[in-house]
Amino acid sequence: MPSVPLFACGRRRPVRGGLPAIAAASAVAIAVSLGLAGCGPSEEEIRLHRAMYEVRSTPNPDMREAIGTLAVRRESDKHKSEFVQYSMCEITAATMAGYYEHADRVGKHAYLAVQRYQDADEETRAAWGNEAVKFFKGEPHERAMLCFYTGLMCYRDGDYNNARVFFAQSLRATASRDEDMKDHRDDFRLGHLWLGRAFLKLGQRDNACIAFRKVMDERPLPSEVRDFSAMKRTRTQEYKTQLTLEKKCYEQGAKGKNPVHGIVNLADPVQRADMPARLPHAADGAPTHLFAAELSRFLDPDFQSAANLLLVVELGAGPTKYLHGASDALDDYRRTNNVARGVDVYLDGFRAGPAFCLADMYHQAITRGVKTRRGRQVGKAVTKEILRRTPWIGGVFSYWDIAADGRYWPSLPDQVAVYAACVEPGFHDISLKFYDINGAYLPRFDINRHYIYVPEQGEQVILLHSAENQENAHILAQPLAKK
Amino acid sequence: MQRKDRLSHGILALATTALACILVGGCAGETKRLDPDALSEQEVGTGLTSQDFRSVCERMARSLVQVPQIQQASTPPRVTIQSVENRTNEYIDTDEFAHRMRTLLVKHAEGRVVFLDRSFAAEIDQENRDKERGRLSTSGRQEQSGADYFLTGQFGSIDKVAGRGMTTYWRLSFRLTDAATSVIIWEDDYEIKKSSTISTVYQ
Repeated sequence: MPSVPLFACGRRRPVRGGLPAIAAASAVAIAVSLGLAGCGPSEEEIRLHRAMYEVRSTPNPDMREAIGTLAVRRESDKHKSEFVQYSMCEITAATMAGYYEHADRVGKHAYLAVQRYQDADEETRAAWGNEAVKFFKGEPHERAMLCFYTGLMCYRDGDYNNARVFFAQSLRATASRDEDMKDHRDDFRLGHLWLGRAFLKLGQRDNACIAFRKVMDERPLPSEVRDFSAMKRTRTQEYKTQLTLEKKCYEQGAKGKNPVHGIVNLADPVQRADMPARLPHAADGAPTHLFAAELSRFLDPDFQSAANLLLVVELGAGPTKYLHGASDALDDYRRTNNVARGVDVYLDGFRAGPAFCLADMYHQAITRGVKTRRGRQVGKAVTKEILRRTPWIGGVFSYWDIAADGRYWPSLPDQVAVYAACVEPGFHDISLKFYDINGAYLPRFDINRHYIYVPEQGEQVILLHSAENQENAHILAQPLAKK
Repeated sequence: MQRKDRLSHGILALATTALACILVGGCAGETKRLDPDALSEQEVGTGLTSQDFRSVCERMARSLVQVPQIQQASTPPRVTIQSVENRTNEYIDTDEFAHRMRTLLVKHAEGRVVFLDRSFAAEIDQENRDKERGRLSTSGRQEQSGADYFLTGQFGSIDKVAGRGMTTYWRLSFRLTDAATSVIIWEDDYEIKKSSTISTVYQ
């Protein structure tokens, strides 16, 4: 490439490159790097993102860090409007980590904030402009789950009357759904079940029976039924691919350069119906006196009274809220792709019935009711689009921020299943086997818990959550540790 | 001329400072003392407010002190507070109501009724044991007093939520039960009905 003199002798030639161009390019590059570096998330933001969005998708997240990060945010004046949102995420982290007292305390504060906080000015500004300026109280299903967790903490603690209060409040939260979803105001089945159990503990059997009857009432939307069929078809394909990959993984592990001793073959397709009644290392006898294979049996008040081991199993990660439409004026939910959709419980190695799915967060989210909200959001969007096109003053209105509120509780589960059984008091091993939407066994989701104590008097309530590779994450982490 | 300039600069500086003070003052938080009977903006929804709390306790205390067994007693009857049952769907510290009634009666009933503090039962037993052993000096009786009456209550509510609207009917009842015979010698109640709508931005 011929060099171009910077200053030609005699007639001055136009400079088309050289030092100024290099200097300019360098300056731009430095500015861009500085800009990018400045725009990158801080460590605190990364920790916060992990605490809010990744606790359910990571096999073994650092819950102490998550709780600490969220607690600092929650108490910060700068983020006062998100007090309830951070509290909700903190409850998730605390319940998953087993810090039940902490979850109870945070839950009660958040509940009181939802009940008592009101700022008319903020609400007016939210109605006219960006909806996220208001104090976050969550959607009806989020408020219901807040009350559910708080009630469950009271229940675990033996405070049955306050548990009843919070379970009743969870039902009140879903009763506040808008007119277009008025048929779904009473379909928070998880709340009904636990309200029924609290009534049983308080000796109000008649009320318990009514609550248990309401659990039977499942009301999926027609669109959900269609989605369900589509999900089954998609999952069939995914499962085939997954088995192919598992086969290759096994072959590589068993016969590759560095064969792994005792590697397990996960490539065999197993259906739920074909699962063994007894695991290889089962005890001599089954410890279960009573368990329910059918929902109607599960909801029998006599069975519920006798049950002394209760498992609340959370499956997958909850729905995602997103903004769309002109100026992001509309908000909606989309389902997160979760594989595990069914669960069986083994006690001391013996198959002891399924856990029943009583809450689908996506269903709860899309039945929140949007009639009033859509009217306001569409009205704002149309008005803005018209005003934006008005000559002379249109430019001013393009700055009118009418975005919907994109804040939500990202660490909710996708589904909540409940298991109950009457077992021999003492220590037990619990194994959970998960299945996909077509009933195919998902060995990578296995959960095993040992020495779970069931007392002579009273009961044991345990919260568990599904996560892929939760049990063998240490094996996956070994190559990283070696590096 | 210079003096005029200096003056105008001074006025400008003063105005800027004043404006800054106003702006900063406008952004600052605010704390104010309120009349306990006044409805504050923070009291929302159909739940009980501090005004309800005060009204209920005052009315019940006034009603209780009129009972003949208290008015005509030769020695002031001894009362203990039992837990107040919460059968509503609200998360409330119900015992605080009975404690407020006790405070009002101790302050205004001129000794016509005596309350026993059972929250220190274990400590009082220990104190009495130490006195019996001579480890502590004593000036009189060394046993805990028994109660003549139990003061207790029950809160109930019927509530309805549909969409934005909610209505709650409250019934707060208190009673005085004879500790020996279980006869209820006094009962009174307070009813409240509230309705509320939640903001459209929260729906």
